[in-house]
Amino acid sequence: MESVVRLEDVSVHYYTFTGVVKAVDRVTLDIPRGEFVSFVGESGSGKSTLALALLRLVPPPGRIVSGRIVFNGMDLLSLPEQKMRELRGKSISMVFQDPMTSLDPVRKVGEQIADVYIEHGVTTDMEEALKLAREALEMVGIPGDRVNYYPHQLSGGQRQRVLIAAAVALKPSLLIADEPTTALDVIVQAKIMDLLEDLMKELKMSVILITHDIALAAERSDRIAVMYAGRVVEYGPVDAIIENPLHPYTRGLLESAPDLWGEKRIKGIPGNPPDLRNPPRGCPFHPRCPRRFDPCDKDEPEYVKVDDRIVSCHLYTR
Amino acid sequence: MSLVHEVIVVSVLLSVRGLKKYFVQGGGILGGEKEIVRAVDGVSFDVKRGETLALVGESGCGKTTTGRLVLRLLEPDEGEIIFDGVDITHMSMKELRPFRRRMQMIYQDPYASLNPRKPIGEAIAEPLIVHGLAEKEEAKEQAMKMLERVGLTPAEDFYDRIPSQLSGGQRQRVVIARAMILKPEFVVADEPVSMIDVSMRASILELLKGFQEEYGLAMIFITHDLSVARLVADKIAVMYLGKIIEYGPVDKVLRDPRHPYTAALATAAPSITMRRRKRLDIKGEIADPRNLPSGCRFHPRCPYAREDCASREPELREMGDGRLAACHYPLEEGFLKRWLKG
Repeated sequence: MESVVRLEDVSVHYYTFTGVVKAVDRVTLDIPRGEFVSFVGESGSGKSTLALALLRLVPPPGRIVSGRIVFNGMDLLSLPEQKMRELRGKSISMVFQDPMTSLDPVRKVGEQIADVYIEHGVTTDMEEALKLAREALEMVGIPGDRVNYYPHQLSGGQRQRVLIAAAVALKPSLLIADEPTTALDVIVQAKIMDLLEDLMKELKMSVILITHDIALAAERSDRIAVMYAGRVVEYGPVDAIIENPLHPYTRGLLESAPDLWGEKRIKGIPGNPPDLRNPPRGCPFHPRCPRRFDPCDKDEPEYVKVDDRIVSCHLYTR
Repeated sequence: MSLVHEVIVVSVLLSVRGLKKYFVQGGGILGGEKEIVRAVDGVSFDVKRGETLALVGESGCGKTTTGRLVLRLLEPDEGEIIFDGVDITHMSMKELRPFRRRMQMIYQDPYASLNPRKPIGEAIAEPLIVHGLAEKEEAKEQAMKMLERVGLTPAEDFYDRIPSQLSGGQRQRVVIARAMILKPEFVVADEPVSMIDVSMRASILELLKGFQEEYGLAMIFITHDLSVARLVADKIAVMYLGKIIEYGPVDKVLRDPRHPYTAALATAAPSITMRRRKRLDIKGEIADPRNLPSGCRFHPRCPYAREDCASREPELREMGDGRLAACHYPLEEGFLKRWLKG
């Protein structure tokens, strides 16, 4: 199975006044080409930091402190910044949560999409770039004449479509979407997710979705990576993860999600998420884990391969 | 006979009739056309003691405004709010005071609804002092008990902490403790778990439920999330552009909706157990509330709209089983079940 991205032992730390925060802690995994992979986790799990690391856009005081990120055969972490800048928007693109803050409110949306073509040297002619922008808009389901609209003249869903149009303008091989529908209502969310799936097939892209919503991930993904306290605690094909979660945190998360068609109760996970400046010894989940035993508060579990999954839990280390 | 009658009358705690709130936009120092936003446009419902009514709908449907109106945090333009048999719609702030104690609000954002510099114990004790129900010592004692009650233990450790020293879930416990210390009879909870991490939502909902049982609380639970509404509510009111478009017992409405909009919402919500279900898709996005569609407000998006839907506005009407829907051509009974099968 060919991968579009391979993460090897990637760690990202934030150097704050009150201590070092291990936002991403030794993550290793493969993202197969052409697949839809979701990174699921709660606040502080490191999922957004991991997405930024893939683009080498971790803001200070954060730093990628170790590891390799191999994208299409290149180690992104050893590329010169100039080369990385060329890749961003062209080979790897990102869509963020809030379209209102990612778009310039005083420029027409067509111009903002056209920028992508100019910046990456597809054309030097603004007219030509605007023509391409019009096509890009149509590709995401917005009438081409809306190139002359300002962001405030569009609805929330349309603004997110504009951002997606700009992100896929140069037909990247990888699109990273960080909570792209969190600010939108469910009906619009469903349609934006449909659009991402359609574009993925049409442009033969791989998609990484960052989300707190395991139900959304379950519906749309081929594969799910569950994150907790900077670690990927479980990674594998969606059906296996949903039907037979191996890691107690994955199970807890699934049982915490209210479901319109499922049981009329939710369970939740006792306790609070760890303080990443001062994480618990051993497995970071052990203080909340219903299945903790001897080694959990002493040794940190290594990644173990179980069938087509990887899991980081002592239940499977022997 | 008369006894039965009395029980029925007394059990309704809050009764809202024809509630309206219009906001005026523009026309200020920045000029521009004055535009009227009909945020809440003729809403009626009852909430019984001990009962939870979920108000659901997409952003801009008027659910939060409705919640604020019934607590008189906003002035209604029209309609009546009857609380425990007393019309509070036009009461002065002074007249309202004794009612304030009996009705509380829990907000979505535990970060914004707590003073960042005030120790949480004091924040919880404060309402007792403000309402003249306890002196300082006594209030502190009660706040300590309340901290225990909401699971922030040992209470002595938590009393002097400030909000930034707590997790999101713990902060929401403080907000709930502060609302509950007055032993209210009625609470409006506006998206109380939507900013809380998924793994901690169950315990927050559990906490609310515990208080509800203990105090016989009536509750309006505002949420955009139908699956959360299903967990907490007895009755549900689905709102669209300032109106209730469907109302009834929560399972009936969600399992067998009669309004196409409710069916669209129910099939759009992500679900783990029904990952590959058929969605009932509707067109476009919610209309601009400054420029409402004619006739049925939902008609431009409705897959089943007929010609007269654009000219005649539907009223909420009885659909059987205690359900009401505002639709000229409601879905047949059992529609959703068949839709999901086929």
